[in-house]
Formats: sequence, structure tokens, C-alpha cells
Amino acid sequence: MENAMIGKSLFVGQQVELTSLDPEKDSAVLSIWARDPIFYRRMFRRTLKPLTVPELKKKLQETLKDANEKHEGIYFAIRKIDTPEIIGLIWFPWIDGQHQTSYLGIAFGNDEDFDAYALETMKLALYYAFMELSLHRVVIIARGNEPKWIELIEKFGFLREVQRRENVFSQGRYFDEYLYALLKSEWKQKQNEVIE
Amino acid sequence: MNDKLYEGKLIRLIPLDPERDSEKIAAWGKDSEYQRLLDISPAALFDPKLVKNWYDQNNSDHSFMIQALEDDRMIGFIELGGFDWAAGTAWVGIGVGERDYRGKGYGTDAMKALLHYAFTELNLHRVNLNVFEFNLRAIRSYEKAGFKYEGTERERIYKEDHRWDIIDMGVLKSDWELLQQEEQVSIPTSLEVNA
Repeated sequence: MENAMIGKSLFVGQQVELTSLDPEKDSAVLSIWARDPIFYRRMFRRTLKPLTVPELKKKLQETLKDANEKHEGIYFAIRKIDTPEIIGLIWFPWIDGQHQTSYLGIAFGNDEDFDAYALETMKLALYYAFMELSLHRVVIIARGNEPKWIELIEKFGFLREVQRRENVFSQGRYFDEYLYALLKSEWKQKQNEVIE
Repeated sequence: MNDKLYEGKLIRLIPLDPERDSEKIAAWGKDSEYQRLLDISPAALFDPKLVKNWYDQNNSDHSFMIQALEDDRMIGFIELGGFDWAAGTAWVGIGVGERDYRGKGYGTDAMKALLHYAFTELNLHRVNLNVFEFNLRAIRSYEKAGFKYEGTERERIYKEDHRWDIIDMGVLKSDWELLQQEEQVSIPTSLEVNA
């Protein structure tokens, strides 16, 4: 039983797989995605700034180097099985080992891929978070201008814990920012349900 | 010269000088309760040199020492960081390192002075903070300064073999402006009630 669980792939799903992020190959695509302010904020959190492909590549290389050396962050590129193109990203930017918690970031390059693959990606990400990183708590930040994203995380049982009023400015107005969290016990309970 | 901006009823805020203040800040850390109320990372003891390096590397924060008006003692620090200048948001951190000055309104007064600076000079739209559920004194202080409860991060801290919540609070410029008006009118009202 235990061996069978250890043998289950953490990275390969039915339609998508989690792969390494390659700054050399993936930066050109990411720089296009970064032109979408919602993607940019989700990925970098701060005020928008134009990013050239070399700048983005450098940023990614530094981020991955830092994550690798300090063992505090893990990044994956999402690809359709057996295809080279990146369709999205998953990242755990600051894994807090002491308190067994981390943020989880997920972003897709376009809406069609989100609609088709976000659900399966989320299942892989949460399994990895709770069963490999052994986290107690996973946190996702969502903003008032990301309704599809909020619908998805609520489906997985994430609870809206914090509502930061008018904490984000985009598209000419303020939006609230939400902190959503899922505890391991809640995730386990959901394993018997079909999420679709 | 008018530097009243940085002055409250009990304290004044003066720029934190890593050269001058690192020794004091490192000494406060010997009080483990202080560290546990301030930060969720493991309480540890740092040499003043490390404290100074840390401040030298994080100089984009607006960091102040809190000085008591009555005796000019440096009793704590307060700082704004994590700015998002497009949204006009920032995070505030505060610590009253000197034990004798806790629970007496110095921290609240420093927070009020800082919010005055944040909203009337930096033109911030809102200020964020986190506080731990076991720090009730701080929660009450932040409410007095104008912060509103915005949520609870469940079981975020793992210490003393127990999982504790973090409380999130925020104050919008509009909340703060309303509070200033209320505080101005509340003085005559309370006098009338007493009479």
C-alpha cells in the first residue's frame, strides 16, 4: 500500500504534466503573458513595469537559483503531456517549513487552457503540496478582478479568510484582494468528492 | 521649521539610524517574548552588526525609532515597507522594545503619528498589518489607531506545540479621515456628558 502511493507520479496527470521551468526556452512566451496585467500581478505581485525577454530571463534565472539554493521555493512549468510548449505555471514561492505553510501560485497563458486544464493542474498542485511538501496549510491570493479563478479555488474548498479592501489598483480602479486558504484536513475530506 | 508631523502626544518618530540604533535593537531581542510578539520566524539572537547589515540592505523601508517625549528614551521602532506605489499600499511593523513602556499608550501614539505621515504626506490609500492572536494588547492598540479587522489566517503559526491564528487588519485613508473628524468632535461631547 505505502509503496504503491510512493510510486504514484506527482508530476504526470491525464492531460498535463508538471515539468521544469526553463528560462532559456520559456522566457519568450512568459514575456508575452506578462503583458496581461492580471498575469503580471499574479506572477510578480508588484507595480507593473515593461519587461524585455532578456530581463524576464534574468529574473527567472535569479528566482530559480535563489529557490534552489535556499530550498524555499519550487517552480513548475505546466505542459500538455508530450508537448514542449508551456501553457502555464505553478509555484510555491516561500515554503515556510517551520509553520508548514506556503503560498501557491497558478497562472495560465490563455483562457482556453485555463478552462481545459486548470482543474487537473490544481489537483496535481494540491497533492504535491500536502503529500510531498507535507504542508498543513496552502494559501492562494486572488483579486476582485479574477472571478473565474475565485470560482475554481472555492470549488476546491478554499476558504476566503481575509478581505483586504481596495488593496489592488488595476484597470483604472481599486479591487479587493482576498487571501484563501485550505488546510490539509479539509483537503483530505474532499478526496472522496468528485470535483469538476 | 515645522517637524510636528513626526510628533504625537507621548512620542516623536525619528529616522532609524542603523549605526546608532543597531545595538539597542539587538538588545531588545534578548527578550524572547518581544520577538515572539513581533515575528513568526524562529526567535534567535543577532549580533548588532547583523542587525545593522539587515537595515543597510533594506533601506527602501521608511524606518523610525520611537522616542518618548518625557525622557527622550528610544523605546521602540516603527516602519512602513512593502510599498505598492501604484495602489498606494504599504505594510506597517511596530515593536515597543522597552518593557516599562508597554501597555501605556506609547505604541498607539506612535502608530497614530505614523498613519498621519502615511496618509497626509506619502498619500497612501491604505496600510496593512498582521498581528498574532495571542497579542491582544496590540490588537486593541491597532483598533484605537483606526485599523479594522479584515480576516483571520487559520492555524498559520506553529509554536508551543499549538497552531495559532494570524489576524489581518487594514486602514483605508477614508477610515482614518473619518476617525480624525470623530476624535475632534468627541472631546466636547464627552465634556458635556461629564457635566
